[in-house]
Amino acid sequence: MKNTKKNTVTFREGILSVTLFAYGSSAVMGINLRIEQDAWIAILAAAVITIPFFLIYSRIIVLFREKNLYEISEILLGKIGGKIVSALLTWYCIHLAALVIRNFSEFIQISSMPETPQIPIAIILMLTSAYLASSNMRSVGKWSVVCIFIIFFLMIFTFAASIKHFKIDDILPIMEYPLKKIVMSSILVVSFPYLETVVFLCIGETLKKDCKPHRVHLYSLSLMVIMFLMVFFRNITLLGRKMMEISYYPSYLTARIIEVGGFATRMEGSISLNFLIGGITKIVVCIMAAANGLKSIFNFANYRTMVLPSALFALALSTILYSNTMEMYNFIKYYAIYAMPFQIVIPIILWIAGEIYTRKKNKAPLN
Amino acid sequence: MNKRSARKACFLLLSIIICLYLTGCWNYRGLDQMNIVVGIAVDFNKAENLYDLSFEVASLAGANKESGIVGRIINAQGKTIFDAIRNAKRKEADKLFFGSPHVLVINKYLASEMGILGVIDFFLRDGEGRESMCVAISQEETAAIIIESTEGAIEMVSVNLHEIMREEKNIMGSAAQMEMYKIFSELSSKKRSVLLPALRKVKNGDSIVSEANGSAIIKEDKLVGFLNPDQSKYALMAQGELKSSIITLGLTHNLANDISLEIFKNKAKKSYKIEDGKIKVKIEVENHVAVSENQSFINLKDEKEVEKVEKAAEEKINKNIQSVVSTMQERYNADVFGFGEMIYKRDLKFWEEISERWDEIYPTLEVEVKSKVKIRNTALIM
Amino acid sequence: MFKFLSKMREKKEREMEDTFSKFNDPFKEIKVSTLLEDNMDMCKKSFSDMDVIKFREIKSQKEDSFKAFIVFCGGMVNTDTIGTNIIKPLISCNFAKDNIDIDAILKGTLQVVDFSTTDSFDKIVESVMSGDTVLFIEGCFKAAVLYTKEYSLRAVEEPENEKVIGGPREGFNESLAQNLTQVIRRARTNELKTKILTIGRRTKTEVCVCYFDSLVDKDILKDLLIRLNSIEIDAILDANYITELIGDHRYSHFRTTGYSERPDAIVAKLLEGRIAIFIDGSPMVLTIPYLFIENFQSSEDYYFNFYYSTFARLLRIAAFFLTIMVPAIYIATEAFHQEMLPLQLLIRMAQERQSVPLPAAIETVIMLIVFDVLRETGVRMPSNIGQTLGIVGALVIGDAAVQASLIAAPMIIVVGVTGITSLLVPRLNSPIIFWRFFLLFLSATFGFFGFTIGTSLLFIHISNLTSFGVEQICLDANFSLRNIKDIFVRAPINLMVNRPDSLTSNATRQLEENVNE
Repeated sequence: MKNTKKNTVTFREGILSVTLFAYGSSAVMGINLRIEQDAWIAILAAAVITIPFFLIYSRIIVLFREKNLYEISEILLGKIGGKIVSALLTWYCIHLAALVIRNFSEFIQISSMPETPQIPIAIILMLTSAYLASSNMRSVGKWSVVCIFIIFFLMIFTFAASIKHFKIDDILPIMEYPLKKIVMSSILVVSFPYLETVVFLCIGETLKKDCKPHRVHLYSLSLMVIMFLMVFFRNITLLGRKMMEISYYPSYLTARIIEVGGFATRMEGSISLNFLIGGITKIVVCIMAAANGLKSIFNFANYRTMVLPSALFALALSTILYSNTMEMYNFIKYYAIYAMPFQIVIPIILWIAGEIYTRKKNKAPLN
Repeated sequence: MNKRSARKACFLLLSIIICLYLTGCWNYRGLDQMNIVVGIAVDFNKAENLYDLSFEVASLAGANKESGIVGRIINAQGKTIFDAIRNAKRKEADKLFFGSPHVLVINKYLASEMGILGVIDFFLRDGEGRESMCVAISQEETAAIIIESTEGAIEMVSVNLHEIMREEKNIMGSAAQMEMYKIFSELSSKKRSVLLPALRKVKNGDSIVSEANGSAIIKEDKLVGFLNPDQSKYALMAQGELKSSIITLGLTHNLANDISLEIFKNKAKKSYKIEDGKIKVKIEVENHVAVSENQSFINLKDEKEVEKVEKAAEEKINKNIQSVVSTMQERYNADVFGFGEMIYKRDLKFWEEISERWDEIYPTLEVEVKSKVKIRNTALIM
Repeated sequence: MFKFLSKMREKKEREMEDTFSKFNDPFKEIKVSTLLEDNMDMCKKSFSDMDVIKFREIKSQKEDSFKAFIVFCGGMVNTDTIGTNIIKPLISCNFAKDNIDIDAILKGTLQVVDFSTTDSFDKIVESVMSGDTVLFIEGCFKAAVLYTKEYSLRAVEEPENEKVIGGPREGFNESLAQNLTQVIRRARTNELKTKILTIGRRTKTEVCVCYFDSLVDKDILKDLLIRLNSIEIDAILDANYITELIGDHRYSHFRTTGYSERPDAIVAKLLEGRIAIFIDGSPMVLTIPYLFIENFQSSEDYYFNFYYSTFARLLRIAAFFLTIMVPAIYIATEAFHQEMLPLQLLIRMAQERQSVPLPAAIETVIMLIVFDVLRETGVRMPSNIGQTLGIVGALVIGDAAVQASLIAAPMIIVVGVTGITSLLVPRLNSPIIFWRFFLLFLSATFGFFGFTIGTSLLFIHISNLTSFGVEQICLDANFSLRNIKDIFVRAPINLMVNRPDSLTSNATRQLEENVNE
């Protein structure tokens, strides 16, 4: 059980941190797919689409234990190719971190502190994340365990408040929207948040050696699905479909209207903290991945020296990303296309190259 | 202390001072710097094209700890609702705080001519506003008069009204209290109309107080008419939303009713079928009741007598619901029971065919009401 | 510039080393001479201007016998022993002058319990200063160090800081030997090892590392010894010196070593595979490694029924969170999220605040500091004026300030809760002070958002803490049933089969059979 010197997480912590990562900004943005009551179909369909990609991710981990994507790409694609791929992935990680920081500063400004400028909010969010990122992976693991407990507690608490109002009518009629639109929505869910877990591959050396990565991935996928479905059913029951549809932050709105025992009302101030801890996890993982990327591009010995620079970079990027909230929401539509190369193309190339590479390597000693 | 640590100390001191300046501004707003709004009344001044808003705020200055807290009224005018709210600031040193308003009373002319969705938009959009506040329609000339407190009042009017509307649903069922976010969701869905509580002023002892008086019918966000308390009770019953209520029956003599039945449980089921191209809607209502008054001492030990009472109650419910439904269909053409929504949910294709003509179809729907009353007990005595 | 600064620092360090070596040098190289007069001169020189040092020349009764003298420090020796067991036998013995064997004298003539011989003056000075008597005999090139230590000590009392209702009342005092005795009395086995080191250039403090050979994790022990041996300091006056010098996180406000004044607690820690560090002159005994949960454990937990102990422990954990969070939550709701308060409470609080001049955040800071001033005064003050403090605290600051509308009444409740709960977890007093104000600051700036950020930072900090390489909290392990038994709950003693397994090499505490009975 002594896990002190190694910078790895245990099986359970692995599952929880991947889940928390995915839950991150979806918690606050909501699974808002503009298909009203059909969203649950999209969530489930997306999970099915995600499974093969998760298996590919796991296979990459198995092929190159204790190596991250940057190192893998340098092995497989040579020095120059490796560095180019590393630079692309690093950009993706930093950009993702910036997106999440922006989502949250935007959310906090709109929801509770309209007069506070976004930059101080983003700064302290970023500093906290950088602190966790410059600690080791063990701390991220512990952080995930605690956070997921808080989130699950609040989720079940709010879900229980909705369950007595739930009627099957709420999700009828099924398939009101055309299949094409539902599929498009589920692709959106695949790219945000399911496949964003590619960022974990960029950290590398995170999982204890005796854990099977595909089990970690699939377990956390099912946890994510459960969480998202719970969120969806809770929101649609309590808010009604139109209200859910037009609100930027449906989960937050739900938290506002939940009443417990007639006196505890308006608990969104405390409930929204569960969005925040999910968001911090996401930023932390992205920053760690980006720092690892910068480390391998510039050949540093330790990724920790690059944590603060990449966090600052993400912060600066986050301030210039969008000019207003509406733009932020419109970007989600194009996110799937934008993220495709990082989430799908690069991993698949590396996976195929990796398979060939290991085959060759295994043959070599025989000759 | 050498030069270096002196410089360090200076730097630290400076950053602490800067930090101190950073705190305290932005959103920090102490409780002493605000007027707690508990009720809002919205009127529209047609002559000047201005919104006329009245806010009831908790009056903190006069009240001491022992007596209750009364409200006071702040009036403001503005071109939009938000404009009016900001204008109110001119008269008051402290900002209005919208964290816990309980009721929003809307003028009936405003509601019938301009609609209510426009009014509630601001409160839904604002981060501070409360989605769960009750919306009501004033039956008086202005909305402001409803939240005005009478002399000698010991409580805030709005808080009182909120309690009344809430309790009404649980005890009498004569007004349909509805939260703001629900109104929005319901009105946006398929051709749905909703019932909102209606408020009026009545004389009570020496003073004039506000009272819940039936419901207002909102069709496509505009007020089309009112239901009296009895009608709204049956309208609610038809939707199965009654928590508790009373049905009175006159079985033996006609001077006054002699039996009261207290409803404990109310269930309703809507269904429809299509016969000869016509849509037939069926409402099944089931009520569990207890006999709480039996003036003519009908022998309730006898099963036949009990059945007779049940039959009478069923007939009365059938008749009343039927009449409310036909009023809705013929007089107001307002789909408060959600028949359209029901068809949309069960049969999407069919709905898409008829949704264009729903306003014409709705009044011609054949509605069958079937109710069932079950007497649970007769309270403490036979 | 930096180069220059580092050069300056190097120079300074060199200077310091020089002074140290000057202090040590004169005696280091000098050996005991065979001529008694030389030794006498040397002693006089080394103890010049030290009037507490006594010299006593001894001449045997017999003609032509040897001469000798003893040196000791007055007040630190048992004079009876010196008179009857050293001087008397020496005077009456009859060794010939030219046939002297110091070993024979030590073994055959003197009646002291412990002795050793040395030829270095350095060692002689140290022995005299620690209460031993040094004997020089004419013609010997060695001096004898005789055990005659005796000095007055505090009696064994119940420790003030760790009062208990049940369980043993004995506490440690300032003597290393007596403290070790108390521990050994409770663990009568040769598995209990005690290694004594001397630390401190000037104080030469004895530090004893104590552990169970069969239970201790050898890596941790090695690590500890390396850290202890690398301490370079001139004085060790209390256990805290060691704590700050060997801790994993020197600048953290959380402890990385445990401490106790109670022998029973120390034995319990030793039995969990921990290592105890006894420091001469300090009643505090340190234990390492230190787990975070030890902040909330008390030795009394094991002397009461486990239901009560579990409750008490949960109370302490809750108290820690309450004491750092209550002011911050108060400010966040009061100044940012007023809508969270039910209307009645909101109006009451607003009423209270109407006539109060200062903003709530400033008011909180002032009142918290006032509370700490009162507490600190209570600790330092002679106990016979304690009542005055109570009156000043309760009446003047509490009642009068509220009556005069200088302070809002809810504030008094907040400060009261904060203050009282902080007394429940004395081991965490320094992190409590820091984090309470830190969270308050964040809350006053960013409301609940700031509060969440602050709490996150607190948690990240705690999860980064290690003690001798052992993580202070290990959640994944903590949530397994095997380990939870002594964390949030205190399981019945027969169920606590295992030791905390991050600490020890041998995790089985008792046989499984006990459980099944």
